[in-house]
Amino acid sequence: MNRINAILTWISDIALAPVQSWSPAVVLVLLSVVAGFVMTVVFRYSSDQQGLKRVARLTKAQLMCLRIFKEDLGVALRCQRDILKSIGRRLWLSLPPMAVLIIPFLLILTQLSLRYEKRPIRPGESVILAVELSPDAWSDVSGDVSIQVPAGVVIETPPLRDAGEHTVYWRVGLRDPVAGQVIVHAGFYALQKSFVGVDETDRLTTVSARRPGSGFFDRLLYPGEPGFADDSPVMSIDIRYPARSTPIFGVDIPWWGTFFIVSMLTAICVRPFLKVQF
Amino acid sequence: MMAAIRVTLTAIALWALGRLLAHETAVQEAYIGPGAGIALLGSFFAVFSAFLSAFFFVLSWPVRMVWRGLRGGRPYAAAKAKKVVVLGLDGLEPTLTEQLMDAGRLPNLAKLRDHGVYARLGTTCPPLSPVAWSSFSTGTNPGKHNIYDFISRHAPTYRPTQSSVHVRDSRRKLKIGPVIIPLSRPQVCGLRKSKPFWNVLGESGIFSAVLRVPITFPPDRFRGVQLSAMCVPDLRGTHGMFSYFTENGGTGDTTDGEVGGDLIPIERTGDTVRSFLRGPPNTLVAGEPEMRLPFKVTRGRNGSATLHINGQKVTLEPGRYTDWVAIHFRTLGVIKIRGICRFFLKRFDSPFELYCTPIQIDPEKPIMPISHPNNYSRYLARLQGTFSTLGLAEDTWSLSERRLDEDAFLTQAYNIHAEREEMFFDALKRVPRGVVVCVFDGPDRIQHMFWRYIDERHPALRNGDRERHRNVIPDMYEKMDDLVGRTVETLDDDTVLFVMSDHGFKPFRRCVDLNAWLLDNDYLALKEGARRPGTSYLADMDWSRTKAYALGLAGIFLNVEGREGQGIVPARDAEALAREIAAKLTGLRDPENNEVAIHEAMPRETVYHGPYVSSAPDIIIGYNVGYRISWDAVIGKCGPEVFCDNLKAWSGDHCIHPDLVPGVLFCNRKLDLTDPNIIDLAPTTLDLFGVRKPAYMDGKTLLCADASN
Repeated sequence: MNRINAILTWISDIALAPVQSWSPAVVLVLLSVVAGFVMTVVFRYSSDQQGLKRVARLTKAQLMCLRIFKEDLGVALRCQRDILKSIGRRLWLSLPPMAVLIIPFLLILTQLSLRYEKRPIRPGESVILAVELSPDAWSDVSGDVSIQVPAGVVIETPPLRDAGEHTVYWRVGLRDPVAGQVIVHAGFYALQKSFVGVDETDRLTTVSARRPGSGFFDRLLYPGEPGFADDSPVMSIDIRYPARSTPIFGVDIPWWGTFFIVSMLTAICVRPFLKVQF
Repeated sequence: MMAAIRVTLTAIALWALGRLLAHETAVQEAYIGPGAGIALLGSFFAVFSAFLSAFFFVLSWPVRMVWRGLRGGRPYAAAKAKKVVVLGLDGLEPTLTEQLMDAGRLPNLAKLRDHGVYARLGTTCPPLSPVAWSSFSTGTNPGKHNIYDFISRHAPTYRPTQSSVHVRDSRRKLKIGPVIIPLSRPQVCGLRKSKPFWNVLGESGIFSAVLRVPITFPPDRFRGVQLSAMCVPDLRGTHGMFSYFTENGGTGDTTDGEVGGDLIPIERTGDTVRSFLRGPPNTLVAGEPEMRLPFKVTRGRNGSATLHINGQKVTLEPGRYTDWVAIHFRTLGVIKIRGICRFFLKRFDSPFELYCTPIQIDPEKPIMPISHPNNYSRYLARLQGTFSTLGLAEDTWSLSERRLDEDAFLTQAYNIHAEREEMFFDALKRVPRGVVVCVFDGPDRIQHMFWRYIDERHPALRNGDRERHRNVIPDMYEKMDDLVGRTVETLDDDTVLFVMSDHGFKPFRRCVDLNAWLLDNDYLALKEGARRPGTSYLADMDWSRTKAYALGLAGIFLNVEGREGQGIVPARDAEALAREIAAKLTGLRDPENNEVAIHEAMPRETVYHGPYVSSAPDIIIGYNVGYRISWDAVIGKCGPEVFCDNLKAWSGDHCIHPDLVPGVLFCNRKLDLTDPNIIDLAPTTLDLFGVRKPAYMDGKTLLCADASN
């Protein structure tokens, strides 16, 4: 997974290089449109279109049935039951294309998350850095955990140890822009985590908020840095960067909300041309 | 293979979704593309609206009950049955039914007879479907409902008109250059008078579902649902014009009146055939040119072909109907006139032959109302898929013209029957209390077209092979019996079931040309030089010397002064003349076999009573078994001789004397069957719901005095 993540991050860095200087919101909208179109095409060919069409028509019929046969409570309730059955059927028919789309879509979303979920900190801002140890390592090395920050970054607080969470926290502040590594010493181990602080936060920047552990999903969802090995005393290192804001027409909605809405709108717009039934 | 892949993918998706959703920070990553997103969102909204409406429905139920109680009391309080189901089997013949029941081939009808009642059901004069079903629905004689035939005439001009519906064009139009913009909507006016019993029931708060009962176009407005039937036109405004595309033979109309078909030429270039569908006139353009929809057919594999029409590709398998194909004609480039049709490829190789059904109104996007409420046809189309909407849906003419063979016609008739069954059973499910009426036309159409196979004397098959299709009619009776059986299975003890036909069926061997007879007897005169048979719709008549003329199936009109445009018979002499002609025609014999051809000819006043008697033909002709009016005389032509053989595939008929062609009536309750008639069904149904019979109804209740017990 580490290797796949590295390749994907490399590819997306290259792909996004030409639009690096553009507004992140514009890039997000463009990417959402492209993703919406491509995924609609994939959906069309990986789903049972006839079945979906049948169920969609049936659901509409059952909704009409509610209005037409409203005389009788029993009939109306049976219509409701039929509607729920149709909806279940529709969702069931949506599962095969979901299976086809789930991996590529997840990879796209995690790459977007790497760029849109968090923003780098600016000089003068501080962030929390959290090192989660494995339960086994906690008793052995929790007293022997320290961090080494790159030039331009200062450690503002002594370590705070939370035995319940097996986590050690520091607050670090940025004095000057930096793109380097924080080194975490845990016993005999020295582990790295990227750290990024910039003057200008409006540009599209890769921000890895977490160096994941050895779990598959952890690595899948945080592709910015390689995951720790199974025997590592450190399970993850998190830097609690501030959330990135990508307002669309002045409305501040989460990046995934924008992606969700724009890709769906794209799908709805191209649907008649591609003759797709969702 | 595909199914296995889909199941595997479904399992993967479920597992992956579960894992993702279980991950604490991954909810937004669970969005798997717009397709699934829309499916999920759409489902959410559907669930939401379903729950909202359920919530509203349940909450408002007591209020609505109180409101209904205040307005109309308890509609079902006096009902003797919870539900009444009328299963109309158009044209089911009592003699055949009885024979087949006795032979054990109709077990469900026999059971109904044994546990309930069975009788021959009196029919109307004339025993035609539009007349009989109008009497069924209104409980009146034709003098009160105004329907006497399929066609009538506009007396001042002698032009043929539809008897049941009048379409009035937009009254105000704005003309801008070649474009005509209607400023008001065209009006479709029903000509059937009196009130059908479902309207009477609706006024008492009782719900009815009325499916495909003839003469319900335009649809009635009442408490319930209705799907129109006979007289719903095709997209071109006719009773049904098929299209036949061929490169062999001549081109031109094969039309006979408002039914029939078009022969349309094709152009072949290599493996591509091009032609066009004829559409309705473009009323938004000056001159109202006909709209046309071009299409091409390309050669496929194994004898199949691909039809390219309206941007769609439809596979044509030789000898098989396509599914319904939704098409549209564009008027002014933007407004779409939508229709549906089915194609039947006979041969791609030369000579190319392709049949297309009449282009029918799309039930999902009807260009004029064909149901009540308007969205009922859309509901049905979405529920069961699109379906035939044409009034006379089974294309008998294509078989008569030998454009379809018997097997293709049967397939078409049973496809339509299957559509009808689906909507009927849905109505049975959706109407727990009230009335469900559904008429199945299949028996009528099939008997019209296959009677020659069970009639040894029929001239249409004098030297032909009867064996191949001898069982079509008995098999059809078995299918109807099966339908009755499945219907009975859905009913409970509180439901009354009527199985009935509007008339029976008899052979139609010999044609009687009434216009030729009138000519021979100096009641009719032709224009100088007119040939026989001449032009349709009375165009050859010399009105200055014509006293009487025949048009339509029912009878003869007198050319009355002051009523007809060029009438010559003084009104005071009309009744005497009608009696004179009726007397001469009664007992008219066929010189070829000396059989009586006309059982009884009746002046209209002796048959009808009511406010609309004046619309009836002046003389109603009750033919003997084996006879009917000739094909020429029906459309106002004067044929060369009075009697001739009927050589068409249309070999059975029922337009004879009503006493000779009763229908059938079965019921699962005991009834008083003293001379039951089709006009008794309406009062009986009202009585079953405790609703008083309106004074205008002629029928009587068939319920026994102790029916409530």
